[in-house]
Amino acid sequence: MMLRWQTLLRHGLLLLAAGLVMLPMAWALLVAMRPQDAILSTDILALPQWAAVTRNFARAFEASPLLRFIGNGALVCALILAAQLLLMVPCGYALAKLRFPGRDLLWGCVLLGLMVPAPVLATPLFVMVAWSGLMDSVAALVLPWIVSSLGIFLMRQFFCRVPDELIEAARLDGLGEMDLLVRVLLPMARPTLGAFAVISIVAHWNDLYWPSVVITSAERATPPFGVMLFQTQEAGTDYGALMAGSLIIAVPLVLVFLLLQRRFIEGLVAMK
Amino acid sequence: MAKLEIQGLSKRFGATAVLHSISLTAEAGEFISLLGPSGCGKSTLLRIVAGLEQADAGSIRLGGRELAGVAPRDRNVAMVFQSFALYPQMTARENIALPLRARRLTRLQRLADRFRLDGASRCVGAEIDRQVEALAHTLEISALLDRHPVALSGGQRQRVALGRALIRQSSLLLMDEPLSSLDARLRVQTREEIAQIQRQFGVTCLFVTHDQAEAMAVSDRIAVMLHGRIVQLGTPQEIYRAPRSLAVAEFIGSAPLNRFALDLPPDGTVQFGEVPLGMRAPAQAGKSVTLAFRPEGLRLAAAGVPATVRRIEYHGAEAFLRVEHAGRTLIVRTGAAALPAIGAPIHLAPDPAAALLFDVEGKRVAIEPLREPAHV
Amino acid sequence: MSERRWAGLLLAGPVAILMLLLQVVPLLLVVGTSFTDWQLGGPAPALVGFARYRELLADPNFQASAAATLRYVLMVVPGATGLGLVLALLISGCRRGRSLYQTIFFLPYIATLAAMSMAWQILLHPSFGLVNQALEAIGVPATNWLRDEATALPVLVLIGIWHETGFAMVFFLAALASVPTELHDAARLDGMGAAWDRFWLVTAPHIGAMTLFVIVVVTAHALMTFDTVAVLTQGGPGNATRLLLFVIYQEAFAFFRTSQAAAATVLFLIAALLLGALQLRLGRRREGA
Repeated sequence: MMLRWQTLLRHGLLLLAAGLVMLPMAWALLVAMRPQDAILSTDILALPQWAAVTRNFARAFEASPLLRFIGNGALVCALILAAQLLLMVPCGYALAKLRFPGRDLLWGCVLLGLMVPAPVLATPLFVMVAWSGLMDSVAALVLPWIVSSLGIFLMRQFFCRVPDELIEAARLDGLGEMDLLVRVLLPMARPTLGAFAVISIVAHWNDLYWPSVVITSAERATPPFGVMLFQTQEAGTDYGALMAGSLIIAVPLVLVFLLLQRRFIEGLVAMK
Repeated sequence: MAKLEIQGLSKRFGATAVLHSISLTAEAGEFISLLGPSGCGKSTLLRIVAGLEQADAGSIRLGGRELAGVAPRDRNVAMVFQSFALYPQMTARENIALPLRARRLTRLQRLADRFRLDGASRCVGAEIDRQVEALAHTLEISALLDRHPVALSGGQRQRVALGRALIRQSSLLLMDEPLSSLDARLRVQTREEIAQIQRQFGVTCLFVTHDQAEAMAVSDRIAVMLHGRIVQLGTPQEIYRAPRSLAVAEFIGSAPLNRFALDLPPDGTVQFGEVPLGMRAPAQAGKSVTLAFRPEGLRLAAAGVPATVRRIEYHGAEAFLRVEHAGRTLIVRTGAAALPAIGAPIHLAPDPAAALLFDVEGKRVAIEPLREPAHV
Repeated sequence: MSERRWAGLLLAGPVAILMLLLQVVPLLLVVGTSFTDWQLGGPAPALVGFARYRELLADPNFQASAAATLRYVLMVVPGATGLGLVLALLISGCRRGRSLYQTIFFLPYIATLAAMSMAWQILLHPSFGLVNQALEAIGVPATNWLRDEATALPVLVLIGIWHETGFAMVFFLAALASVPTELHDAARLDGMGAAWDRFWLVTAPHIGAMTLFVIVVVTAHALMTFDTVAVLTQGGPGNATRLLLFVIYQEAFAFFRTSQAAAATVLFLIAALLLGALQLRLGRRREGA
């Protein structure tokens, strides 16, 4: 009896909290589905109208190249991730299993890099980008982030946990370094890489700071920067379209998250 | 100490039935083992008695008092867990004192007593300390009282857990595989200590284990559980010598059972291979049965069933011989003096009194000597 | 052995070079610039020692920013951590729906904050926003939440808590899952079965390390708040929401006061390094525990 009451209270509180948490998104969706006069009125319970929905979303796409923003986001994140993976896996392996001059120094730099937030390096990087004529380009968005201290850290920790005997056995079987890496170790590293990939994609997709530094045009804008752009476009009048645009921008990552949530959360926690 | 009566207890988790109408009575001061393989429901049964789970049907009475709907803390029941479940942030002393402090001091008093603020709670606290010291002395852990669990060995933690369970002098002591996290040698030593303490305190005890040797060594009675049912309840001797079913016979006993499927002739006489046992089972005449012998039921003899020695398992005072007869392997227990060589031909004489006969469903059936009067 | 050494250099070499170029050199440049008077596009820089730092710390605008950032962090961190813990406790006691709740509460952390800020803006709109309409319905006068000096920062704090709580919750859920259930059972039998008692007896000692870790990480996140300021308030009204990272951005890329920005960045860096070092220490200790 008492247990039933407790469960009811528990779920009641959680549902209330869930409702509050989803409120901004739910409200944005509602506004995106209403005509302008309904939005501006004080009628909270105005029903959505299909005509308003099509109109608002169409207007959002007209006013700003939303699909372009999303496409840019996908391109930039994919390029960054590809470069990060290409660099961090061999480097992590070398740091864990091989001895070479400067190894400890490099590892120290990796640890330092973990603690230095990205915006700290923005100004000098900005100067470098401007000086090399790469302002407002995909290269400017991608290049500064291709060395991921977190990625190298994770890979090194992973490879440290791989027993030496495994590697020696593979060498005895005649595998060269490259083969060893690609055919034996990489498949083992897949969960870690998967978790890292999600973290990298989310971080760079949602990054507003760096694009605000190097992007000036709508052609190159990534999703968050795109939001700022079309905010100025719509300039506080067409709320329906504004909300439609915001939702369109937010949806891709949310969808991907919903599909991969377990992988992401496990990875996040495992990474501490 | 109090009498425990369990009647018709059933439990299902979702669609799976875990306990089927369990009934069991433990007399006051009795040590009863719940013995069975993993998944047979014994831990669930224990948890239900403790009040940590609810049964779907049935009743539990302790000392005549119905326990349904009573919270765990009010059931006058104590429990020792498999992992000991000692609070890692508290010393052994604090762990043992906790059940008393939780009951005799209110939350405010507990807080005040911790900081030595309130006089009345200090008195109660001091009295509790005295009890803890006395019990620790009995359990021989007085020197360990101010250590934290992390600084104690497995056996020491076990005793602290025992102390915490005994401090309240509950009517019933529940133990959920308390020895399984100890190494083998410690297990034997500790189970003796537990049996001794149980006798000393006279508390009714329900002991869950999957180790049949353990159960047989310490229990007054054993409840053998398979697939959520108690298939036999009896003293260790009864269960060993007169198992109610083939499953029980195979579960009990350290060495494997020698079993043979055979069809009895119309006159119901039982033979071991070509050797007549001088026994018959009239009720099973003409039917398929299983004949079983424990390794000590087959003796080396000058004449009898021929067999060849294949392997010798030497155990110091005794040995187990793996012999081959008619294409199958039998296990024979014998004294370690004058062991035959490997490959040597021997003869086995089965002891008719040790023969176990089971019907086609695995239930044990009566078997009697050919000559009157019959006595088994 | 020598072949392995070459392999090591080959595999790690590119990273080393790029790291030098993309991280080490910029870092040194930032620190170095903070000791000069250089402005972007201006004449050659001259060393001025700690002058920029002295100016910065004496500047009332910067002081206001630092104060606002401190207030922001001191409100967001306990808010998100505490709420995250409460949610985790509630969810961990559920038999059904755990996964669903976890997803819902984690969503704000994933959703692009810039876009969500627009949604918040509409929610808080002075005339037709849901919040004000609801308040007016119960007789409380409406407020222009983002334009009122007294409420602008608290609103950003609310959004910050909304954003970070799911993050904290996920870590707490993991920690709570690692508490042995037998300890809860023992507590029930020992007479400490009430939820409050069990929390202090069984749960709290177990999650201490994780709680510290979560606090450090959430503090680091809060320190780096930029999106909400950039989209919603641009630092206003007045200096109410000029959080540190936004100040740095403006100094560097709006006013091009490069050396001042560098000095502010170094101060920001020191705070971040302290938190980062703590995070590493705590993370290592948890791994060993």
